[in-house]
Amino acid sequence: MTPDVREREVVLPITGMTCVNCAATVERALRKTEGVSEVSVNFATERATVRLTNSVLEKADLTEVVSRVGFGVLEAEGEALEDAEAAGRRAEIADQTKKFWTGVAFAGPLFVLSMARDFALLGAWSHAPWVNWLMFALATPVQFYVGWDYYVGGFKSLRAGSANMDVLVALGSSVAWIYSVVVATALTMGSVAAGEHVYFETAALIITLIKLGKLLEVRAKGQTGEAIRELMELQPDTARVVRDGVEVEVSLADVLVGDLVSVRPGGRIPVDGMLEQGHSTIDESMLTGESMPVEKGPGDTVTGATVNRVGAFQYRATKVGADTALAQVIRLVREAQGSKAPIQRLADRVASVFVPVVIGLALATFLVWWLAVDAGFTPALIRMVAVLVIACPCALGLATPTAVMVGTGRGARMGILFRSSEALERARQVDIVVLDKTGTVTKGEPVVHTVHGANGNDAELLALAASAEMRSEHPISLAVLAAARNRGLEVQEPSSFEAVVGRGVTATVQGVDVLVGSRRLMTENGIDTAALDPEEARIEALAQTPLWVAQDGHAIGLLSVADALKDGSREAVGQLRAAGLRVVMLTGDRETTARAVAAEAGIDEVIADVLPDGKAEAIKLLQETGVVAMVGDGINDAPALAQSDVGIAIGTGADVAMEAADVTLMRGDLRSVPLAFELSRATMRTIEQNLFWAFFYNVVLIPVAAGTLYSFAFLPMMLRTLHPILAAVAMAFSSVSVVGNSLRLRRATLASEKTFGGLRS
Amino acid sequence: MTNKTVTAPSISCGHCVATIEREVGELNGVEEVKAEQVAKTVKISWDPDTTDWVVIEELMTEIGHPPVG
Repeated sequence: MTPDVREREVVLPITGMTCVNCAATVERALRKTEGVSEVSVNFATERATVRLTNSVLEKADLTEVVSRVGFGVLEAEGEALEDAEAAGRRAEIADQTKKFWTGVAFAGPLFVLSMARDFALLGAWSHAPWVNWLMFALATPVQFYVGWDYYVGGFKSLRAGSANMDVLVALGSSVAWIYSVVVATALTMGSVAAGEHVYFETAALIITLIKLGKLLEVRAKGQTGEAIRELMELQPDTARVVRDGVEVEVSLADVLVGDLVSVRPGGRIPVDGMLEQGHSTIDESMLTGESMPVEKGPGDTVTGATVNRVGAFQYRATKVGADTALAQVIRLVREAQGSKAPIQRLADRVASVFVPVVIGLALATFLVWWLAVDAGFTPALIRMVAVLVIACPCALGLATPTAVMVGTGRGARMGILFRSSEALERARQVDIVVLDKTGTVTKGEPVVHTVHGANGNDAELLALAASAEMRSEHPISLAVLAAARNRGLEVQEPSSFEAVVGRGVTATVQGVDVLVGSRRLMTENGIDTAALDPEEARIEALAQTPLWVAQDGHAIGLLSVADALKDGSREAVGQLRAAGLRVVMLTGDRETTARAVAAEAGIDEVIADVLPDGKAEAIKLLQETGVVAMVGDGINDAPALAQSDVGIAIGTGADVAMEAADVTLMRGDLRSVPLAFELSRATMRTIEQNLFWAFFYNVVLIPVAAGTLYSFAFLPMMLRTLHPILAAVAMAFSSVSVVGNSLRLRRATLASEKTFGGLRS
Repeated sequence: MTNKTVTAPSISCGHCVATIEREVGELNGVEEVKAEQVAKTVKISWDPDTTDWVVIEELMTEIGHPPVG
């Protein structure tokens, strides 16, 4: 690439910045570099914009400058889309895959060789020392390459004062391997003092099978970084700013506080500010969850990333970069995701009890045979080793991942997507379910509730209002039109029509002047409303919006409009409460509106008037009293979803919400929520059963390994002193039991599924 | 040798600590710099014959971490 020596601009995606000071550090380092004329580093978008004048600097030089102060530059712009977390996850999958197949490549032939010898298929070679050494050659790479992670994980766990699954695997397989090396050496030297059997294939198989479980697990693990990227994409890349009286297009990072920003109809608002000139309606649904556009005029605040609908306006930027509301949401999501404590896996909890018990039993075996039975030091040692080897359950690694795989598959068929296995495990522990109001409990769009004609002429009133509203695209107009059509009323094309911003519509329908809209529209047109005032008061008491209709200068009736409850919301709340969960509704709406909706849905507990950034805080408070699941759909819910123990996003909502959540419901119906919890319980039950089967055969064989059957001379020798074939049989049986039990989950009956017809499709 | 411990309220992450230690440490006459992320303090030892506190203070301000006290 020939360097361009004229003035040019380079944009670098920076990694590793954790605070605004970091951005300042990067900026300073670049500014000091010769050839750089201008630098601006945006912390929220993680971009450095560098202007170069008469410089031969290349991207690599700038990368070096950035890395010298402790940060990184992503290589290709495309890579910027993938955060470090996703890359780390990919690397882990690749690593685990490589290790697993290495394990298969070595343990497979080893198993065949060992079985062939146990079933006396090797003839004269059976007792040849080189067979043992061939097994050693096959087992060793598995032990120390494939199994290395268990040593690392086990060591960490022991240092933290507990014994997890890794300890068990590392201990069991190492004992088998070390003992086998000793036996092989002794046999080569012609001595059977250390025993006759080697357990190389037991060690290798345990490691490989558990590695399979690990591989399944890392592949199922969810990503968390996407949410932030989605949020960043809500910001436009450029803004139209008035500089020296001329409107110019500048990149978002160059918008300064105090700039006059110009927004066109349909455009996205770049940064936060205060409107100075013009009027418009703005769709703020991505921040507030409220689908109804908001009217804005001079003096009103506008928020970056919201969408301008109809008017053009100019506003003064008050907050840019990391200070904008969107940047705050991004920060909240980041913080919440980072703070989520990992759950202790059930398998690890079992192991933490099992490991000390097994070690105790092994020691007891040794002491009893050595001191009480007086069988001699070496035979006692051999029995102790046998106990440790047989105790390591190789199906343990399969118990959780196989059940989770089947469980998530079952969920996916029902439209419930668990993004991580932890979400599936954690959902069972939920005590409190928090439901967002708009778009979650309710449809999030207005619906006509009641029609009240002054003369009882309801149908006529609705038909007239619908005709007048016919050409308007306002959500309220659409609701009126839908209500008229649902009742089979005839709607007339108006001969003239005008939308009055923030008020309603005026139209002429078949020669009649019709006004539909707010009380203000009526008073501004000199219409007497007195006769219908009591009706308006009644509607407002129900927290609904009154919509006035006037004909030829006289008020003829009122419609009430409100956000309607979704189908199934009430039933879902009932099911959740029946399951013993506390149900709370969380909303930014006024208390009265919220109470009205909550009462209709059967919810007693309401947290209303919550500011957009207060939702995560509210969740945090509830978390002090129990495990919290949050159900929401908007971008404003993203921090709360990330903060909650189990974030559940409604699939019809914002992509960001889904990315921040642990579970996504593909159907907007709340009845999926109790179903998701039930599926979680069923899966966890399966995991528990799996753990039982994983340990069962091994536990049964511990007494055999300990030599308790030794004195029964009529038993086959295989049972009197542990033979490696028994270890192999235990592994085979427990693995088959575990996988079979997991598959059963595919057909398990879920109670809430029955009441939720059509969900299967 | 002169020692001084100051507070830099702007310290918010490990990068800030590294930046202060690197930049101040490069200053001629400064013998040792130790920044603490949690306490938000910076401990500096310097040779008063070579440099002056004013110079250090200026540098810290320039790199975005002005000292207090």
